[in-house]
Amino acid sequence: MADSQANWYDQKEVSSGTSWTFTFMFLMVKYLPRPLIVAISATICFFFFLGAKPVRKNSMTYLEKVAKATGRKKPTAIDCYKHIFSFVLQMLEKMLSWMGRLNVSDLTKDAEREELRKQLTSGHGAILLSSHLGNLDMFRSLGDSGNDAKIKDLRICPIVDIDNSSRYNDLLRKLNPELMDNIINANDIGVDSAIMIKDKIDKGYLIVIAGDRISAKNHDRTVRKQFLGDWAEFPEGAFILASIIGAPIYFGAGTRCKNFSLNTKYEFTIRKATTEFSGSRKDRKQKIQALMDEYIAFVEESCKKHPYQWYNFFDFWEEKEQKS
Amino acid sequence: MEDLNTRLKNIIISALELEDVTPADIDDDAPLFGEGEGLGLDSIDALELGLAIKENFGVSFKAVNDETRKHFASVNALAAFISSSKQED
Repeated sequence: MADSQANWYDQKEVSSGTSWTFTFMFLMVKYLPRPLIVAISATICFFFFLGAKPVRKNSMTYLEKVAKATGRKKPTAIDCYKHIFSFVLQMLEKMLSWMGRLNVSDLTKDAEREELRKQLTSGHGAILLSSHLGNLDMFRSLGDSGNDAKIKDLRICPIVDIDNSSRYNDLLRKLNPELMDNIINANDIGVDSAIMIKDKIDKGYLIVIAGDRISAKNHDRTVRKQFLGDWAEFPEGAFILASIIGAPIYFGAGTRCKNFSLNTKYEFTIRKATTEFSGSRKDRKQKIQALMDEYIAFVEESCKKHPYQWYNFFDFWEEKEQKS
Repeated sequence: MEDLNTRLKNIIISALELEDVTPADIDDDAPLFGEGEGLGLDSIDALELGLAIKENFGVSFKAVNDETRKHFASVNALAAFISSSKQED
């Protein structure tokens, strides 16, 4: 168990690259046209794909489960390569977005997103539960640097597992120092940060927190849930936090409309949770479970729709097997 | 000081919806958290209590987590923290 834990954190580092890879990516993003960036990354990614056996294995586990759930045929090594390449593109697009080089006009329309926008512009904040599916970072950057006034007004405060992806965050901090100030560290969630979050909500902020990330430092309470047809462990922390803050809860995923291009529109799927936490706290435990189930259903649905845009290369399911 | 303690106890009872507990049942020095001790509150209760205290007294817990934990040790500790924060204002 301890070994497998150590293992996947290591992998996360491997898959997020070393600092020279980041610098290289950053220079590409800064100076090269997008189609060329895609071509170069596709080539480099191929060698990474050949070398990174654990990443391939976990990617395959995920792809097999999602294929089974959608009734598609069994994935091949090509699908696995596509999955990893999609992850590389996601890192590049994050850099583009943090530099303010993605346009809000690259978005598709969505009714529930409009509802969320209205909620936020009315001055009352909300909580958005994100996942490893797609790239919500984009949403945060668009909120701050977008050229569409409607979205520019949105104030977004992400809760990020800062220690876990520090090198990457260091680079993002260089790209856009101001954005980084508005981040709450997921490793420090306690009474003080709960109050800070509540304050931000009262000021009309959107608090973005991942509902499927197990923190490297805090071994939060986890709950076993069915995810893509098999048992997996989900951390309870984000849902508990959402339950006590007393703001409307949304689920969200930001995805590229074209899987393998950086010249693409983006689709932000937003769904409002039907579970509400007003009133008595007596049935809160059941409600937290109901909220988690709703969230997992949303993530599953998004995975089926965008199988290559699931950016988690650690195996939820393997942990379960080791435990039992 | 006594009044603040009773107020705090009432906030604890109402925020956490403790049934069959009156302010008199809560010992000023008893630990609030931890299994089998005092009220035996857990970390979710702590978050909620923190929010309730913020709403009622307007004081925040800006300190790091270990400090915050000390303030939550007992009703007396909370009361002391609230009065000292208010004086600073």
